[in-house]
Amino acid sequence: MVKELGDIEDVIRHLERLALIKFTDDERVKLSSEIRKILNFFNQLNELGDLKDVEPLFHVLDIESPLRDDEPEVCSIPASELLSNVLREGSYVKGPRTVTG
Amino acid sequence: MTKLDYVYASATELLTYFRSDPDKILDYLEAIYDRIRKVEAKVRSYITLRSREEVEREAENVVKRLKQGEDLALAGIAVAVKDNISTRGIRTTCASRMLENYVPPYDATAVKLLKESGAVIIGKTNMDEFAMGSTTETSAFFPTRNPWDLERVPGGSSGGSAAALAAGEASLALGSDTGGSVRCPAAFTATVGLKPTYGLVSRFGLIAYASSLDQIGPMARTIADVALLLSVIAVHDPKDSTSIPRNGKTDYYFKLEELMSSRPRLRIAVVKELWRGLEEDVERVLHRILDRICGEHTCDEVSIPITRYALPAYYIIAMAEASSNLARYDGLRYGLHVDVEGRSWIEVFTEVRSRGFGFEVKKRIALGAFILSAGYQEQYYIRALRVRRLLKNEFDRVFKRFDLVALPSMPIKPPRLGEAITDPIKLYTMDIDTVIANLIGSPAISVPAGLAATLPVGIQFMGPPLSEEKLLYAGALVEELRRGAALKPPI
Repeated sequence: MVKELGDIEDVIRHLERLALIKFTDDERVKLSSEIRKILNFFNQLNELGDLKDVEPLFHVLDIESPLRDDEPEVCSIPASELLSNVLREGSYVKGPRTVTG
Repeated sequence: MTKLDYVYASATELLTYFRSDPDKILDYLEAIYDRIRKVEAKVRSYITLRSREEVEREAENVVKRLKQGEDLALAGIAVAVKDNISTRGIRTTCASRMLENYVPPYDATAVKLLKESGAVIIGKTNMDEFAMGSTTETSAFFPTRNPWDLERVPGGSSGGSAAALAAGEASLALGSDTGGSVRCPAAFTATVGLKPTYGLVSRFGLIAYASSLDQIGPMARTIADVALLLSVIAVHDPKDSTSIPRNGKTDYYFKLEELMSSRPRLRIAVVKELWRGLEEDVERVLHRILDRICGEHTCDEVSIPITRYALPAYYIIAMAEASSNLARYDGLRYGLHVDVEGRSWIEVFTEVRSRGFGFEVKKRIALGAFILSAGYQEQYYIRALRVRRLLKNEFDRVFKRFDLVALPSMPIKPPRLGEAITDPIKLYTMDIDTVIANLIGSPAISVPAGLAATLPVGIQFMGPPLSEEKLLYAGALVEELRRGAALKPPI
């Protein structure tokens, strides 16, 4: 699999773009030695041949997301506590620009 | 009771004692805090330890409630809670820089139930970052050490909870188990850890790793104590859409006593593929116990060849779910904040994730994103889910003929610090006997089987969904066989 993707540095750059994560230089060194091992480990599943007839099991319970009645409930937690972890400016949640240019 | 009697007494014994004299709760908590002062610097079970004064104030209220005649299932019992289970007003970090300063505004349902039953939360325990690991070494803060040998790991990811129990720093504990995170540290510290049936214990307030696999699990030093704790936390919860609808509570402690007196004969399957590759002395300890269990119960060897693919299937599914779950850490609503002024969303999101997560978490998120990406999803993710179906089908068949499956908890003894973490495959292979229960939603328990030289070995039982009573019974049989063999660490 790694071969198909090309050079290991390219693979890491590809992962960084996909996941929106940057690895440090030390992490890149570790990752380049580990990634091949992990993908080979995953590729063991290829030994099982064609599994097309087996239905994937996403979840062990047959759940249909139950919805509660759309009725407001009283929240006992004060607003100040609910907002205590939020990056704020006044009473607004502060965020970066989503539209650039 | 003397101070050391207090710290190593079972919750069951303590409760009987407190019912006749509620004021003793305060003496007991003093003994626990004295013990923590003595051993915590060596073991480091806790990320956040609550102040003694605060805990004492809470306990005084429990004493009052007991004196007023309230029936409290866990009155005054000191409980350690894994740091990925939300506690209102108490920092909950997931052992990550990402949540280093996060204080939840609400309690997880399991925590709420603990408080209602009169339990006292002592602190929040160390773990692998976001529960990703089997040694408690991926914690962003510090590793926890095994009270049986301070040079070795306590297992993980609920390593802090297990170490706290083994070292006498708490009487009961909560962990969480996505692929063995309760059972692995239980095995490595000679404590008991149960992963309940998927959906039996509410996940509301458990910070998600891989939602189709995660379960909160009770941990203790005895089977009866695990039964007691499970009875408190196994309640249907409308706040968790995967919570199994049930009426009221089950008294697992009472059911266990019933089974121990009627002593039904168990039909136990020994899956031969799961008994391979064990360290020699671990195998010896396990066989000694298994042979004695099989002397009184019906054991048969069965073969399930597909089990050899359980481990890669598990890691693929867990990483895929993690990459989706951990996308919530955008640095705005909670978690690490960075400067957002004049910057784009992608820049901010990337910086938050890169600075907030440690290597193992970043690696699993990145590989999870890769597994789910166009062109690879069918080859990895969907294929792993098909293997999961095959596994479930096979075990459903086994559970038609057998009550339980007996298997090792861990194939090895607890590794030395730094020994397992350098090789990802070695680290992942430790979970070979625990991941199946999570993949198929089954309950499974790890019980101390004995010592290999000076290090603990655990035996595991796994059953069909909602077979917790039988698992506790099997565990109690092991405990009975081991009677006399001291399983208290030298610390």
